[in-house]
Amino acid sequence: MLYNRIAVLRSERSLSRQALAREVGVNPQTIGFLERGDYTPSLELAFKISRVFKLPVEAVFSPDPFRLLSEQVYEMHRREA
Amino acid sequence: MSAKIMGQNSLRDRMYSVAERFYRHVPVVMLDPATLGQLKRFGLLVDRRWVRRATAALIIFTLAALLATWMDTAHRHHVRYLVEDDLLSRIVMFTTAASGSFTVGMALFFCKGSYRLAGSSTDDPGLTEYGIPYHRLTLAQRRSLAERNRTDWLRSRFYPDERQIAEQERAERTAWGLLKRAAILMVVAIWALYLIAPEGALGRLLQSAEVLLCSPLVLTWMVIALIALPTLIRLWNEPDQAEEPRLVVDAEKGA
Repeated sequence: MLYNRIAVLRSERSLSRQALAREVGVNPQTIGFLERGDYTPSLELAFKISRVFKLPVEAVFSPDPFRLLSEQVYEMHRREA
Repeated sequence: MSAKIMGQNSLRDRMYSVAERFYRHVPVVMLDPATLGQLKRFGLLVDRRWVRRATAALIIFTLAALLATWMDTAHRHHVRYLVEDDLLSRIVMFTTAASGSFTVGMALFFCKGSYRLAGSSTDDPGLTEYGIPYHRLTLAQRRSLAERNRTDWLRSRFYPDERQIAEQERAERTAWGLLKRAAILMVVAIWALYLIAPEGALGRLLQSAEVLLCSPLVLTWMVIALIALPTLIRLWNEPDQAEEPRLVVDAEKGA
């Protein structure tokens, strides 16, 4: 199983499933399956999705569950302060 | 879909281009909000796992009923069909096989459509595409939306994406496994019947089985099973669609 942050990243960018699906050349349903973890993407698709979000692939996909982004940002700010 | 996938099959490309040309002459249907709402409600009712499973069960029942009918027909026409050259019997058998195959084929065609719909979610398409509820879209926006949806739908019919291809391959592997075991079991069971059963004890069953095995019906039925099974497995396994979370903010609110 591969965890991902697609839903959060889409939310940040106000990007619909349809729009993302068109960008990467898949069916909108496939984006839904990816977000729910029902489907593990090919390496090619993972890279395409990462490129749309302008992030490295490991920032979007991970074999381990992601920590909450809000927690990470808070921790980063605390460390900087 | 990606250019790479689209360029892999020239026959598919040609068929797609013919379909695209045909659809260019078909007027785009722009739905009013009330009709769209009704369609979404209907989609919500139909596009559920239990409905898909019930459909798969119904098709399996139809296939089983077809097989039973063929066996019965074959048994009743056994002598005339095999010994006498009765054209009428042959026509009856062929018509039964052809109409049954056509019925199952049509059922599968429409079932395949149920998991190939592009963007078949129940979400407001206006919100997901423009960030504005559908009833507030201009006519030009509705037209553009309808055209895009049609193009997506048409492409998804001809060019399945990697998940759909993977699902199909998994279903075909499962179907192959099932058919392989079923075929072996059937052969063993029939040989056992022939060798062990006392003569005349299972007359009707043996005769039917003999006719079924010797006739073109068995080939037809096996081909139908071979084609139908992957689709039925996909119908059975396909999970429900998760609705699009309300991620796209209402542009009018300026959020």
